[in-house]
Amino acid sequence: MKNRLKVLRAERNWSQADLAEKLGVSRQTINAIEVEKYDPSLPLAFKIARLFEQRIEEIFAEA
Amino acid sequence: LAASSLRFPLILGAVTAAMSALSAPDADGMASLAGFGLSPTVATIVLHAAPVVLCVGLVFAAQSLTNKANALVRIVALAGAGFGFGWALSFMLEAGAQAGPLLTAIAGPLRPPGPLELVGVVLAAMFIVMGVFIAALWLVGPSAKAAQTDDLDALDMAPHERPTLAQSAFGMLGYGLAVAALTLARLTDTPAPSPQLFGLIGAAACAMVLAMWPSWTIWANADELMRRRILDSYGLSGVAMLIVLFVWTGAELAGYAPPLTAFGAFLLLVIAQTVAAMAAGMTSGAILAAAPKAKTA
Repeated sequence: MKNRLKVLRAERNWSQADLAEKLGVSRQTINAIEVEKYDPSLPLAFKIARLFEQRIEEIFAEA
Repeated sequence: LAASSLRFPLILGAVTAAMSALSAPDADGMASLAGFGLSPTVATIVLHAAPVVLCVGLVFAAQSLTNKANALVRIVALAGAGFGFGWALSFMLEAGAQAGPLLTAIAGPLRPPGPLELVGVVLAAMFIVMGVFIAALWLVGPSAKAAQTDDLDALDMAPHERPTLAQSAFGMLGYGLAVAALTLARLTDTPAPSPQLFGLIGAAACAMVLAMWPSWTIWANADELMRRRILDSYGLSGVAMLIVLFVWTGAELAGYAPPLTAFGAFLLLVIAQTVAAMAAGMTSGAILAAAPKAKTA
């Protein structure tokens, strides 16, 4: 699944560790999502959407 | 020199020294040194000390030569220098030859090992070496972890991630020591209710607790990616064991395979879990880079 996590994070000048801390997950998880090796669970996807104040489909899209 | 640049050579030096202490000088090596006029005592000391001195020296040399290179080049150079030469030279010493009397002192007279016991020895050695290596990563710091995870962002590893490497190291050492103690208990040639046997089984139980505790801690602190990887690997090893045990049962009934003891099944499960962990992408997972949750603000 494609996503815009890296772009959104860069726009806010957050490091992977910053974002991980805000979401309560590990930095490795953020890295795995950004490089599209891992699709987040629905609860985590909602959490990401709320944090960036966007809808889930604006952040994640089918590959 | 900064303390961080001393840690890696010193750890490798200590591992090489332990390997050297359990080894016996090679007859050809002794003869060669005698050709240079060295007495047997001096030649023995030289053959024991050379791997340690060379290993530490080469690691220092690799550190100096790659001082301005990027982290990955440095780590590859250091690992190559340390492990390559340390192992090679220790094998020239007939590695492990002096472990025989040591093990006999612990376990009493030993029977010759069969295929299962040899598998146990290899597994135990593998886990112990991996445990020492992960402990070295934990002590050396984040740059080494970056090389292991192929993830340059790991260079800014958060402080709360470091203890996970220590837990992984303890887990691997625990598994290694448990397999080693059980293998030794299988080999001891004393009657069944003997102090040596109970001592070894007790040691194996303690080692399993040492292995289980970090496993539980890692699970309790893991986030969803890590838990997914752990569950994938256990599921995969369960299916693998089902197939292996089914095939073994058929082969045993047909007379093509020996009866599988609990020890044999334990070793098979350890192998299956190790392979499954790697297949589930856990070389950068529970073993080397288990990922505890970041603390929320």
